[in-house]
Amino acid sequence: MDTIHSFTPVWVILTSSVAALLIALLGRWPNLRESCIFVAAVIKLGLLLSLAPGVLDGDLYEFEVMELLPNVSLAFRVDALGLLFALVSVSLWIPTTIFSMGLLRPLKSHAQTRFFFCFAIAISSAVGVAFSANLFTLFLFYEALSLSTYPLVTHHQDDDAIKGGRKYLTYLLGTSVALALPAMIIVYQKTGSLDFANGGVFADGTSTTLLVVLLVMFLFGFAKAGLMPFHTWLPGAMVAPAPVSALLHAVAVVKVGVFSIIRVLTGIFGVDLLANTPSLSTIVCVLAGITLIVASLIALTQDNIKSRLAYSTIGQLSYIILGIGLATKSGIAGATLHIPMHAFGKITLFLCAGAIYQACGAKCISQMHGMGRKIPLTMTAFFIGSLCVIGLPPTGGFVSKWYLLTGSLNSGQQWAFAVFLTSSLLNAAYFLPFVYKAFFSSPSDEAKWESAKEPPLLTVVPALITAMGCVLLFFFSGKLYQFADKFVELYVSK
Amino acid sequence: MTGQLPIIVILGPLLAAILAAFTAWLRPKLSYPLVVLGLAISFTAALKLVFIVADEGAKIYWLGNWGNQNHEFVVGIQITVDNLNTLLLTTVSGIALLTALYAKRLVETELAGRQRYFYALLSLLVTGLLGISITGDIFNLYVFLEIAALSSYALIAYGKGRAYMASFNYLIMGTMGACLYLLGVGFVFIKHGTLNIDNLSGIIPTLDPSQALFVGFVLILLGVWVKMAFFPFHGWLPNAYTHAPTASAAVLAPLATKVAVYAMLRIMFTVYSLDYINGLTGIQPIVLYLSTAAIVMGSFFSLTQTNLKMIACYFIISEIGYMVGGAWLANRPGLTGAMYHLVADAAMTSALFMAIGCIVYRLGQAQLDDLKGVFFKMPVTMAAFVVTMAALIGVPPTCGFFSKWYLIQGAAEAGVWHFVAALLLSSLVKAIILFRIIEIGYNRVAHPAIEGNPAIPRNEAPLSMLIPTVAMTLGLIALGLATNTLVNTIIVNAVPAALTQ
Repeated sequence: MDTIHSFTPVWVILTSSVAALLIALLGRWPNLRESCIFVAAVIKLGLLLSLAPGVLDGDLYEFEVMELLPNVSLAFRVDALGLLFALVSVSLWIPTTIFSMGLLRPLKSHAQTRFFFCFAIAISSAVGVAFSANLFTLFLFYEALSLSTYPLVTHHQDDDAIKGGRKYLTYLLGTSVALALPAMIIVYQKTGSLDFANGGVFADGTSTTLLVVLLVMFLFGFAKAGLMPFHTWLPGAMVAPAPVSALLHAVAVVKVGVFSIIRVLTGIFGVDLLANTPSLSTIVCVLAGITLIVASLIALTQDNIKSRLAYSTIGQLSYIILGIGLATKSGIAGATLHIPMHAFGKITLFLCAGAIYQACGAKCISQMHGMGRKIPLTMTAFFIGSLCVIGLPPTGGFVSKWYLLTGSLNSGQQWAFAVFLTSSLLNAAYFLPFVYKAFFSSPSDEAKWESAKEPPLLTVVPALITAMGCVLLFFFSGKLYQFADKFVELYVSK
Repeated sequence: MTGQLPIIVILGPLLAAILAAFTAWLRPKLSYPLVVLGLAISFTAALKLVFIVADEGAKIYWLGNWGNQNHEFVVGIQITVDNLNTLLLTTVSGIALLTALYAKRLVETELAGRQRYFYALLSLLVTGLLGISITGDIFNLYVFLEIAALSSYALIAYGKGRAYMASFNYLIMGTMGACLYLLGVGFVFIKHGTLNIDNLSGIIPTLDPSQALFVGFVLILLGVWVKMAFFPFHGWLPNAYTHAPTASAAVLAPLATKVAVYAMLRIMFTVYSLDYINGLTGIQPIVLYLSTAAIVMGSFFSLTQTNLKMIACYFIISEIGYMVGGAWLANRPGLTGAMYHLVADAAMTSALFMAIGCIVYRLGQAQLDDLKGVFFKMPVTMAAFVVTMAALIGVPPTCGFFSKWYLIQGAAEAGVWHFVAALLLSSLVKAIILFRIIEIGYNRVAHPAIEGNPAIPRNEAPLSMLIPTVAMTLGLIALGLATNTLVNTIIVNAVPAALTQ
């Protein structure tokens, strides 16, 4: 295990920022503009893959840009968790861009350059969060992500979009400034360090009350993770165009929230502290458990496809938080694996939702009768995506849920086992009727969808690619487990 | 030559002011270049002093080299340059220079035909502000306080409409503040027989705390509070700076209040001492509550305003609360935050008023409702505006983030949680205002790129205004990135030594 001083992490972050600049400059030539994105995405992916063998050997790639405060630097460090998250975000950037082209161009949507520009900046920020070596750097990119995604949420610039955007910023900026920032400053003031370290930064004998207060501030402060009651920004953000909901509100933004919580729990508090202080572990598990069940129940009541998917996302994010809260090896491994698994499943569902809307203008589940026969490709992709989110084989979701369930049995919080199972049943309950209606029920009179036909290739193919990804993840889950294993090795001592 | 630098800092703008007043009579065109030259000389000297003082420590300059300098009670006129004021001198002269460059077009349009003495007054104001920052004598501080105040009354009265009334109101309040200050100085002088800051700082700790010393302290404090518009003495500021000509406001708003904060820091920690402040156990919590109230009220009133200038004025009032609170926390991070914020806030307010000035120059006024589509009309200005607001909110890596960082750290160390809450609240309120402006300026208008919507012609402010605005805005980021250097080489030596050991 070596620590390697390397500039590559910075290059990875910069590629999409440079792409953003080019996008802004090439706004007048759409084809050129979008080829920039693909070139940047491929370079980025290549750079990330070049880091993978080393990281799987246990190496850490580090780069310190500058010291901004005593003992607090703008610094990057690539470990298995960060690399895995970056790989997921960047690899899904490519299908999403294809999808965006397919969706926005026929509509002659306004401000496409702004759209792609902000998108590229958001990707840079997400990767910045993934590679942060300390809480300070993480916070910096976390805020950059909130700000760069605001124009994407309000893309339509109508009243609904403005309202959704307002809620989005109020929740995300409000919680991070009012809770996460002071918590971070208190940690710095008490310990003098914000670096993520095995075993955390707190000295033995730090008062439990303080730890509990800080923990709650962090959990709610990173509201991108959607812990209740700070979750309503996510359904509100569904006013955004489909690609934004797909990549940002199923993968990049929400996972950044969860990722930040993972970093805080493992690197600032430390897994041992969590495991040995029952009150801390219980708080995390209970908050996540409540969110998990309640979000799934609300999802059942939603008729709008995107709203249902949003509540489903809120629930699935809490799987990850609950997995970390268990503070056992397989729980953490399961949580780590759930990041890519849920990402592929949920992005497929969102891309399909966008495609369905484009094909026939349907937004609601009650309109789905017989849709499967009209647009079989899209609905098949939707089916595979929902299997992945429910956690059934042969999709990746099965693997991560397997580890999460094992983790809950090994921990002191065995009730979590029941919570996971109940929620999976609820997941099935809110996805499968949808698929059933589409394939097996006959069209109702008022909604015949006679004109409905498969949407253009540019929108269907990305959904099929990610759906295929869901299945491939199942068969290659061993490779992914190596990442999770390395991360666990680094942060869990026992 | 380097020995003369401290006096050159003030002489530059002072001579420029006198000459500009005369040339305004004979050759009006000459006064502008003269003032710019004077400010440039002053800025260069101040910048050089930062490095000299950081390397060699404090410098004392004896005006005319007269007086009994080595006597226990000094009579000569002393100028002191140390780590606490070099930064402020550079900030004041730098911002004044940049604003003078920026203001030319603005003055030509806003004060058309009446601008004859404007630049002379501007230069005189800067002389006063620099004088407050550099003097080593609490009575001379009063003199410079009045020079700065008198010239600012005139600069504000240049405006139209309610400017006269606002200026008169300011004059009454400002004079009361100056009287309180002078009265306090009187108490201190009667007790100790000297006005020299170095002498006083040597004597006060050796004396038993007396009633006279305490009354003097409180009077001086009240005096500077009125001058800096600290809550609840803030009433004069919003009207004065809103109705003043934009060019006057652009130089007054960032500098005048900040220099008064510096005077408070100097009185608290050099004339009096850290131990004395810590001994005031009855007053310290009250001042901290007042600071919190200043931040909360400033934020609240900024939310209720519909005029961009008015909003910016209430920002100043809440930012004053930051600095007074930071100073009265009287611990290392709190004081570091207050001193750093002195520079950071001057820069942020300057950038904010420059951007508002550009908007006013093109739109004629700055009511929020007039801002529809302003992002399409003036993209560069609005980009600068958004970055400046981000700095005021405290988005990293701008300087506003780091001052907040230190202040919150200091408040957490002292356990003053209401101050932490107020700082965060103020950030959130500024965020609300920024996004309200984005909604109005960007979203509430039919997007010109959509076919069929009317095009919005670009109508950017002239380059002579735009370049200083953008430079100042970029400065906010540069300042943020330089925080560690600034704190570790300069501010660490400005904080009372007892705190840094």
